[in-house]
Amino acid sequence: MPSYVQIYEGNTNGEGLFPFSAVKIPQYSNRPAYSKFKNFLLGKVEKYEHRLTCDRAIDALVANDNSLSIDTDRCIACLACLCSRRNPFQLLHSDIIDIMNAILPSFEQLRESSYTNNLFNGDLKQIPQKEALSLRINSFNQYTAENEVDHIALWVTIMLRFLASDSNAWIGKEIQIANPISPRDNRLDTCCLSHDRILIGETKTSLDSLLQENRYRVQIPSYQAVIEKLVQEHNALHGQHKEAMVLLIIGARETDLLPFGHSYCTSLVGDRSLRFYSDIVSNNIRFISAHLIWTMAFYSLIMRKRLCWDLFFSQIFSNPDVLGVLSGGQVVIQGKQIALENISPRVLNLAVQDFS
Amino acid sequence: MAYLINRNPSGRLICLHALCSYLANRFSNSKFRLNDLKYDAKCPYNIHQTCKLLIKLPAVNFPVCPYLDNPLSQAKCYLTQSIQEDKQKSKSASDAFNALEGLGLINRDGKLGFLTSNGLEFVKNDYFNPNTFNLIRRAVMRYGPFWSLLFLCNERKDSQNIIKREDVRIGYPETQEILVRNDRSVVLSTGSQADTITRTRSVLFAWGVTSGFLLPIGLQSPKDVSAWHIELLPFIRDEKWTVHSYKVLVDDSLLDGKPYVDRPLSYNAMTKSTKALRERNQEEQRGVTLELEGIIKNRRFAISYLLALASEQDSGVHFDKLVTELASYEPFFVIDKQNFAKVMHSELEIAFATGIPFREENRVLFPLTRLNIGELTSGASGEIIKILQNVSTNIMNK
Repeated sequence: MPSYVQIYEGNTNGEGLFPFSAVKIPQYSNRPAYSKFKNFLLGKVEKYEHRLTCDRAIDALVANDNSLSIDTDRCIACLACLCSRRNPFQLLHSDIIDIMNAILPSFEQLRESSYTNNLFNGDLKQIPQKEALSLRINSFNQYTAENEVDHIALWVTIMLRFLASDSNAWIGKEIQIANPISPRDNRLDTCCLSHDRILIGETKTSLDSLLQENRYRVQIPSYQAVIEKLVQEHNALHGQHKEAMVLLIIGARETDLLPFGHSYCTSLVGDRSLRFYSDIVSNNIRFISAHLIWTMAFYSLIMRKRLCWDLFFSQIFSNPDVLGVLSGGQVVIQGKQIALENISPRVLNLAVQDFS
Repeated sequence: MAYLINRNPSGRLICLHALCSYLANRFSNSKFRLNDLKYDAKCPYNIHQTCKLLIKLPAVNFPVCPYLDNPLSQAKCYLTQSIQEDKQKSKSASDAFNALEGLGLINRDGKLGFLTSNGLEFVKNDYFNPNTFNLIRRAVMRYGPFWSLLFLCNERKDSQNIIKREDVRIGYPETQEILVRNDRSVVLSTGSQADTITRTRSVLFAWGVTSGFLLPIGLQSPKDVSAWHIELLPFIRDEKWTVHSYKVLVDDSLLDGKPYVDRPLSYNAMTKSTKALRERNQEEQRGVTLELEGIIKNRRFAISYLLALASEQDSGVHFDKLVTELASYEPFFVIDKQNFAKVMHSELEIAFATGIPFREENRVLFPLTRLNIGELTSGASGEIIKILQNVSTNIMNK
């Protein structure tokens, strides 16, 4: 018998949708051509597109007459439904700890490892996988490892708005830009603007797919150049001080992203880790893992304190030696050594905010 | 005025049946616009009322189209999209319109359409009624490209009667013509892209499966033939048709004696839409191709039309004579005189798209179908038709 945890009781909205079941993704006009990113910077929304928070590949949200529940046997605990509201606590039918307990078999262990002093202490967070054999997708790793546009890109977009310090933060997905080095226009997978900080994420399903595709070495620097120019033009025109950062956001197994000297690194075969780090160092690319975002959301929900990406990353990446951030800490280069380092609780404390 | 279909959603005849049913509910035999095919949230009639494939998702309380990437999309219907949201910029609705027209279920009148008597009869019965099978079969056998599929499958099947999907190619010919403009070489974009050919083929194969001419390998033939379209529905319902090999169930007698094709491609459909040339820096290629589109249409139409005339006279078309004759009307048919014969050889593939496949014997092309010439010539100028009638007297070979 499937087991459920109820997360909402009440009416649907005017479109027949329950809170937590769908998100509204803003769409920006592209008229005149190539103005989509400019319109994103201005927050000029043309229309909204509804998207399910729980993808059809999972189908763990179950609507009944006046309630919405999570089928805990199917749920992979991606947290997207809970994070689809800026402040989920106002509408949740059950206590967040009870919900977490129901959807995460190893919740207590994860909870302990997520206290402020333990959060980025060098240990990667293990998001448990479901044991039911009938599920096609039974883990967060597997979910982010396929169907980039509908899985990881949408998931990151939802989470970034939740993790922004600005209550009016806005998001965008698949924002077209002209790129002189590409025969066709490019699309920015995910964007979030919080106060004056813009995060542009180029999502990749896994380290393997990224290396196989092998475009990122050219793609990210070219995005950085195009976006820098557009943001400067915007600032000059509107007297603003916006700053953009372009990050690679990588899904699937996080241990693949550990530096090659780390004892748990799982991408030593074929020198994949070595190739990846050599590429990002020589092309000045920065990255984060999907697991990091998950960890930030998990921490925010159980501590009831929002760990904000804009406050967090601005501190972390102000150190030019930081190459990336994983759920266990920051990856730092010193000389020729690349290692995973703890992140000080002080940095964390400066990046958290109460839910208003 | 039939066109070449090239989008997968048109492959599901159950969706086209739902579309036709909605059109009948809303318009009966009155005229409608292309936009009327689309779902309109503000209209009391819509395709969701007649669609049999909607599904209920656990997370929402209303049924949705199972094929939309985003089930909550305001596009509402994968086949046509909606007035409120159409990321396909009417291409889906247009392909559905073309499919209904190719099947003889609607007729075109300028920019409008209306259900034919065949269309009204088609929706009299529910899709799951056994009578629908015969109506489906009659419908697919009106469409020119579908007949070419049947001929090609029959000709290329192996000794076990198996055809591999990739062995069939129906699309616009690629002629590899290069022109020099402003000291730059410009390649004319005349042929279907590989992805378009794949999509056209997918639709025709799906129709072949639904109408009992093809059976995906691994599936059993239904015992009750009139339930074929129902029993094969689980295959057709799949999001993607990944089976590559099919058993060919085309009776030889069907192809003997030159079957009549009611809806061949017409003059206006002899070239692909140049809207497809969308990559940056393709403006020049698009511009030159558009400028010469009339000639390309004329020479392709010449092949199809002369084969159709030959078929009526039980004769064949002598290819070399055809080239010589058309070359004498240079402004109408020739872009590059030096390569004209080579280009025309490539252009012969258009006959398969039109619906008049042929066999070749000693450089004579013998047509294997008869065409509805009124439909074929729709859109062609009287001048071109007159020229080709003159040409025909010199190129026929009995």
